[in-house]
Amino acid sequence: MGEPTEITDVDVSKGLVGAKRIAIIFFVVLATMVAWRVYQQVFAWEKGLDSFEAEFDVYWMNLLYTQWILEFTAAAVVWGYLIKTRDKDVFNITPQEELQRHFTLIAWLFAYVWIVYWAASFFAEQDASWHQVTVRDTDFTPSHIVLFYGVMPCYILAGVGSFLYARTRLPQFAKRLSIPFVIAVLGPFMILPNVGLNEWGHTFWFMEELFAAPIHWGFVVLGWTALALGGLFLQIIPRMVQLTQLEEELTEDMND
Amino acid sequence: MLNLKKTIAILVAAISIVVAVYAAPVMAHGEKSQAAYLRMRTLLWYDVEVSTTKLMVNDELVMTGKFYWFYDWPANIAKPEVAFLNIGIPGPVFVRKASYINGVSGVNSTRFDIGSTYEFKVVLKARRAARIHMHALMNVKKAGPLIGPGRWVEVTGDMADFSNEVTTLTGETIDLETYGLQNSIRWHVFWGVVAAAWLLYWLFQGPILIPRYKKVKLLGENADDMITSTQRTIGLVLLIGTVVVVTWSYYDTQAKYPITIPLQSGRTNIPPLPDTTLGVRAEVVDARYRVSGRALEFSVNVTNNTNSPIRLGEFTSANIRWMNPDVSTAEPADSHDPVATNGLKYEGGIVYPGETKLLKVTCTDAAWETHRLAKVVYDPDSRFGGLLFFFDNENKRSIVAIGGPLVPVFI
Amino acid sequence: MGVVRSAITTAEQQHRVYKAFDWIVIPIVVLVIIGAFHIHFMLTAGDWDFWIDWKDRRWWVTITPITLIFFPAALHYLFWQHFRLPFGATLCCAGLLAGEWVSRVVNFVGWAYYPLNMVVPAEIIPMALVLDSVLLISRSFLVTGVIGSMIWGLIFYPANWAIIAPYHVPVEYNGNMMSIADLMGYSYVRTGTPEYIRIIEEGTLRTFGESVVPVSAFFAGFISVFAYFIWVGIGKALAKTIWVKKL
Repeated sequence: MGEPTEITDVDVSKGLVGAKRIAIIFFVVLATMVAWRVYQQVFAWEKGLDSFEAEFDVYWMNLLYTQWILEFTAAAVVWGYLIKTRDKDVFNITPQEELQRHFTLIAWLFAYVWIVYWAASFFAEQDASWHQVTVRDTDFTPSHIVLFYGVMPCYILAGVGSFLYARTRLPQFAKRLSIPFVIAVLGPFMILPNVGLNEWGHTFWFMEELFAAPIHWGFVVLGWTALALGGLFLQIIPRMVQLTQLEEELTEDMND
Repeated sequence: MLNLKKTIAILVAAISIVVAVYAAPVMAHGEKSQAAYLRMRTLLWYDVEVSTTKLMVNDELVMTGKFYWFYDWPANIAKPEVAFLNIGIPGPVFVRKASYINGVSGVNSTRFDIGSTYEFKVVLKARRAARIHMHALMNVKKAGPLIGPGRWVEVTGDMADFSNEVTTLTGETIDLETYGLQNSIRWHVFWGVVAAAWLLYWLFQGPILIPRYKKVKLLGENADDMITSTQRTIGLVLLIGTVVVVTWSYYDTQAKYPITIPLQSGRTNIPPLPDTTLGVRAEVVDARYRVSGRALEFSVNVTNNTNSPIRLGEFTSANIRWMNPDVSTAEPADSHDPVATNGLKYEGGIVYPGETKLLKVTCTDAAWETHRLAKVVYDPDSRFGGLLFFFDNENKRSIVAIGGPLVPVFI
Repeated sequence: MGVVRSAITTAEQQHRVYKAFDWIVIPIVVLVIIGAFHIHFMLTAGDWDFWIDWKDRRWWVTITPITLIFFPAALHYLFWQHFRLPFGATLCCAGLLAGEWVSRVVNFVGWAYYPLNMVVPAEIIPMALVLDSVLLISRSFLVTGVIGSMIWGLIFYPANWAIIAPYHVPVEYNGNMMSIADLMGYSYVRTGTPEYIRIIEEGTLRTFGESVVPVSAFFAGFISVFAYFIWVGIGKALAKTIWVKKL
């Protein structure tokens, strides 16, 4: 391992959160979600009740295809960029740089959970307000198209993005794999493939929309994995303690 | 992202105009996704009428009709041991004021006899302005919704004018739209404020995450010392306060509402209507679906045990009607009502009292394709079913269910 | 790698970093709790919580406290064990209610047009306050699990009675007696949610002079005790700081 480069005079403790980037993340996600919601408000009841109508194809299937194209493109670009621009000298960054990068990671995590909120809370419960009220005639309903194939891929994009950011730019995550981080990203990611179980089950047993039905519990168990973010923060905090240690402070090992 | 959405919206709008011009009339509630054999062999609806198709908020609409539980019920569909007469509308555009099956109130779920006929009546009151395609609908436990005929209905007016008043058995007149809401919100706000105070108390202990984490690790097994006696006192006050408020609210509510009942979960039993065949029997001898001609052709042995000569006037299945205009006429109620006004032809003529005769029936219409009924030959259970309507000289109907294996003719 | 060097030199800078960490991490914790807890809750007890005509004396009272205690228990472990912060349950329940209220107003009312009084969520804050305060007073998962979880289950129904009692006043309707809640379920048509799908008031109710609620609440508390310990364990498992070289 080489020696870290010299400490700069800039006060690294200022502006760590990056209020501007957090505000941008917050408002861009908010605007996207509101746009989806408004689209549903306008077109769901009018054009989304019968999947065999030509207009259903126009307003809903086209939205689905557009989402898929945008999502695959965005994932390729964002994840590719993160890997392509990885720090090849990640073990020799300055403590200041590492501190700042931790806050960038946290900004990524903020984007991740902000979208998780929209998916798991807002649009997931909205799905109840649709399916308990209408006759389900396709897997691609106006609520599913937005929830499963729109919002969920967005949080997968951000979740995997945050993981790749840490893996390519932060020494302790580059050195070894964080199991809680893997769980916290992979678990919610698996909710998307779990749609397969859901739809398969709906063609079999559950013709009515009982939300507490066992067929939905795959989502539940995978949702629990989000708690592993706790483990991730317990990995980040001791490192933060080391990175912010004062000379006169006790230097005990803060790890578990 | 926003500009992109705008672009998409414009594209969608442009394409939709094209589609709107060329789109063929279709049904509007997802019934077509249901397998053809399911639609043909579960619940067969007929005589469905609505009292009006244009009304104002607070006006009432009555939907009436009959349904027959097909005798040859598909093996993989749950039988109607528990069912509920419903209505297919996109959210409460209407509120249901009353529903009746054979004159018995349909507030409860009930069971039905396979092979029997029932009549229904649903009274609805318009709540919200909308143009909707409304369906008669029966939910069957584990079989899901069985969708009946639909009608376009238009409600105009302002939802703000809507009221849904009832008088309770304790003599109070209430509006279901808003009843109890203020009270609910008051309690949620009260407890929300307490919760917020509790959380903020801890958040305002300074930076809490890293410093407290450090302290916990440094103190090791003495980490509990971080909790001050004041904080524990606060905890005690919170505990006692919460229990006291809950207890008080419970007894106070008991005093305010001394008469309450549990949710009602009973089931009713409703006897079916008398036999609708009036002594006419019909049995399918042979049935084929001609794919290229979009025609169902079947031979049926008809025995007339009534006192009058009868003729075949209609075949109905899956909410589609094939009419024989020589005997009975019907017009589509609206753009989405599939009636083949001249779709039924048959050879064999009049069946006289006491006679048994082989009739050769052909039901032709594009509806076989547009309503995906022709798909029955690709179903895992490709048997068909439907109702034949025989008419005597006084237009009295004998309604007989028929069904059997269906063989496709591709060439 | 050698000893990690510090990025700062003064106590003031350290304080600033700590504050920055709180400012961004606490919102993250709140958001992820709302999301994960809400999907858990809506898919295990959601139907009872969505509709006023599901809030019965038997299933609602039994199921809600049991499935509701999972996340509070897990967060009790995380926040108490590592930070000595006794607000895990309140954070969970307040977060869940926030998520529910937004969805009820914007989706159930704003999209599906049901009246708001029909879709008010259950009141769950009092239970959470009890669980947190027992933890704070006792400083013990054991005491919290046994006593706190039992009270948690017991007070759920009384805490909600002030909200739901008005909907249990009887009405005569088309020759039937119904509660107002039943009548609302009947009036406001739910095409995909027929009457029979409600899982309510089952059983012959031949216990304690037909007093169903205390038995259900006591049973809910009893199971909540076990669920609490299991979920403290799961919280512990998911808070483990495991590193591996390769997967």
